Amino acid sequence: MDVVSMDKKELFLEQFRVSEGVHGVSKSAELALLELPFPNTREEYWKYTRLTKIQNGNFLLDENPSFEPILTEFGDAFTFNCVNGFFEDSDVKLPIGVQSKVIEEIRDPLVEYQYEFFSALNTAYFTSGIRIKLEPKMKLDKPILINFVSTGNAIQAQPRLEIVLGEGASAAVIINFQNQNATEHITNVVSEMKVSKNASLQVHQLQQSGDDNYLINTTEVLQKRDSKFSIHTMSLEGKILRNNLNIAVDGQNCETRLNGVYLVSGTQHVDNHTYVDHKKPNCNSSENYKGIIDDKATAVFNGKVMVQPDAQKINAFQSNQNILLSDDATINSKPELEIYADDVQCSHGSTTGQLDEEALFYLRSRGVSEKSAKKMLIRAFVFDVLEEIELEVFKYHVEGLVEEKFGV
Amino acid sequence: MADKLAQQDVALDKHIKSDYKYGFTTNIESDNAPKGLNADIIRFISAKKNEPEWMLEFRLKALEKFFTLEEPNWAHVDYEKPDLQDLIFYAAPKPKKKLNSLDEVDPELLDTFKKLGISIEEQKRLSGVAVDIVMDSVSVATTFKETLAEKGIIFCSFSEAVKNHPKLVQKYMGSVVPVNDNYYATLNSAVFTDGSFCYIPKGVRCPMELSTYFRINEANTGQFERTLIIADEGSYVSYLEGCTAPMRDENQLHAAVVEIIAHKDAEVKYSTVQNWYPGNSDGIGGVFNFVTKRGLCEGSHSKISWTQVETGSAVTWKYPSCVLKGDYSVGEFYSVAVTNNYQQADTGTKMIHIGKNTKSTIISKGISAGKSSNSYRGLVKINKSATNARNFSQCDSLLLGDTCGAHTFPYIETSNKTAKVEHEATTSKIGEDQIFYCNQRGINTEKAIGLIVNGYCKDVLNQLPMEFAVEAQKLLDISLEGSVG
Repeated sequence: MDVVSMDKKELFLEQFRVSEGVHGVSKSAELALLELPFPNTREEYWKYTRLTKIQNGNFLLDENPSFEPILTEFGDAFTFNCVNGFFEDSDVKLPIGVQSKVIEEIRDPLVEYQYEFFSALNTAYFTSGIRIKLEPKMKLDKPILINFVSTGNAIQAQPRLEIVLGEGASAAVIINFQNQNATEHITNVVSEMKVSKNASLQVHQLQQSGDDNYLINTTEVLQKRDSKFSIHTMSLEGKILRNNLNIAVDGQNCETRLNGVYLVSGTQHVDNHTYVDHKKPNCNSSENYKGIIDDKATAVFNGKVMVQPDAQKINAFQSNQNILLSDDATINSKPELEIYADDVQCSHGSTTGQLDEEALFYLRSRGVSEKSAKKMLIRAFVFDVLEEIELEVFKYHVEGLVEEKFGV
Repeated sequence: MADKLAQQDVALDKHIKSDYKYGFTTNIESDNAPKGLNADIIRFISAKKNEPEWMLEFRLKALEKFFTLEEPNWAHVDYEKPDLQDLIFYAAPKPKKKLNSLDEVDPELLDTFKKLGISIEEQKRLSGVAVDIVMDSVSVATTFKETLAEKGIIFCSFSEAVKNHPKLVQKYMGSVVPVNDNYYATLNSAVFTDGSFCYIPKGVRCPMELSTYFRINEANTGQFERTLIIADEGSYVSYLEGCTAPMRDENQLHAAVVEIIAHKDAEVKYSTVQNWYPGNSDGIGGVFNFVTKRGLCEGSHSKISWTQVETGSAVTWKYPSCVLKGDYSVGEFYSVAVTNNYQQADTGTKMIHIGKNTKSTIISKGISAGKSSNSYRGLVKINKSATNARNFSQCDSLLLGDTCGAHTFPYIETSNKTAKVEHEATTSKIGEDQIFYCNQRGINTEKAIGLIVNGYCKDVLNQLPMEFAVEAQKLLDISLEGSVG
């Protein structure tokens, strides 16, 4: 590493350091930070995402954010609000068998902070965090809603979230990234989800972080045997939006589903990195990411499926499809398979194109205006991903947003 | 059909008896440079070859650049980095006098090629393939030179080209693979000893297949050859390349550079059957095959097609690429890569679309057995200027056994909305129902697998010229021999 980038990294880290020092896991993350270089495009993991703006940014901590009522369209839910990286002290009425607790100290993290700069940054200096735990066999009738709100100018937020499902428990979670007139704001969040034997977790993420803000969202999932996990990631806004989604499937008979839609325009940049690690045999995973890229926006998809030795009878499917709407739009797609077991069925596909001229012509010839025709085709394109969302309030809300984004 | 099968069986049986049939060494005295890599060695090579000043400058510039580079490590392969200071960079078979006809070639050398199954005489009479043979980096014989000369085709060793056609060499050498392209290409630019040169003039369709046979013979040598093919406007050439090496316990290094330039309406078809010594079943020895191959579709409507069958080498690391600069130019890549025992392959292609209406096709079939690792790594890049570019990629992997690995790392970068890019990849094992079907009809499992693998690779094998297709099929069978548990 040259001296200049060393100094820049040091200056960047200086903004996050806490005067009283850190302990335990946070301490080792702090030490890891000294070794890790600031992510740059020479690294394979960050090849397509340039972080110079983040590196040169000046970010402040907003220790007393104001918790104004937050409006969402998700109806009745167990709601936790987190503004500028701090969770609100409120008594969410949770049924017996569900607990929420403030994270004072990180224990047994899933995230491999030793290897990744931003995970280490969060692990060392997280601003606040909560742990939500479901007792075995607990089934929630309402979703858990987590609102991550950013407001103000040049603020740094590093919240941490832990969701633990006991054996046979089941829950739906909505993670909503919202922006209230924030500018030059960075949110670096780490979420860890432990899905025990026979449990089922559905996660829904809506990312509207604003065109002027950065979001780095790392999600670590651990699945035990007979469990089900699904995640739907809807990325709609963000100056730089990076999702690191790592799923370790460490048990037999698991189902894993990853869906994503990214709709980007202007000069937005969305980067989805997913990693499904099949450690045990007899599991299914399927991944479907679709993107529409307009104006000067850039999108990145990097999906990796790993099948470990002896993880036989794995079915893993991965698909990434993209539509470019403008001449200045760019998509970099990198679906990867790394397979060490022979009795598997793994495939991936990736396509890039534009809206089908012939389909457009067909609709036009039947008197549909160009705008509505385009809208129809875009809707049809993302339809199969949205269709898989089981939580209806979320599905309808997202459908509305998709139409709004490319609507009349 | 039955006849054909029976024939294949005979061929298979014959080959199964020997592990690596090209594993002999030839007792030809050779003229070696001292070990090591420095400017003096470069001067020594250049002087040995009576090269003009500009060639020496080219080499020294490359060497200077080389010392600033580090060996890359991003590939999915694991090997002990060769100690370049312990290598001999020049090993020419002796005696090296000027040859006017084949009769003057050292009889022992001719024997070598007979053993290789490429008796020059026979080739000359029967198949009508013009062969240039490169042994330990020095071109030893070129056949059919006169016939080709009548058409204006230049097909000779690289050193001859440097002497006789300096303008062409100066103009094109390094134009597709720049001197500082990558670690091994730069090394090659500094130390290359010989290779083949081929120029097809305007509007000429080369009447026969051109072929180069590469052989590493000496111990502790590296083979660094350079191939330059220039297809002028409206010309066509089909070029074949074959490689073998003796069995040795230490790893040998092969770092070649191949450059192809296709002008307007020209077409170049480049086929490789790579069968370097893969090392023994414990993974000892074998050739490190680190090759840079790139073609430039310079003019409109030009076409470059790469076909490769990779069965040999301990470590293969190569990406034959096409730069589609001319409008309506076409790039193709067909590959079968087989790895067995401890072989490792990280191979694929790069298709860079620059011109309008450019088209590329990638068909890659990987087969891994034993404890080997086989990766496809490819780049499809559609530049902003490449309106209406089209790409189709298909990468399939077949796993035989549960101790090998098959990986796919495609990079797809699109910056033009009119582009249509499709990529698909699958990984699976041979279907049990297919084997059962064959068993049921009296074909034993080993043969059934040979049959299924050959069928699986058919898309690629069909692209090979006939003689090569037969050889490739046999090679596939031998490579997979013993991999069925």
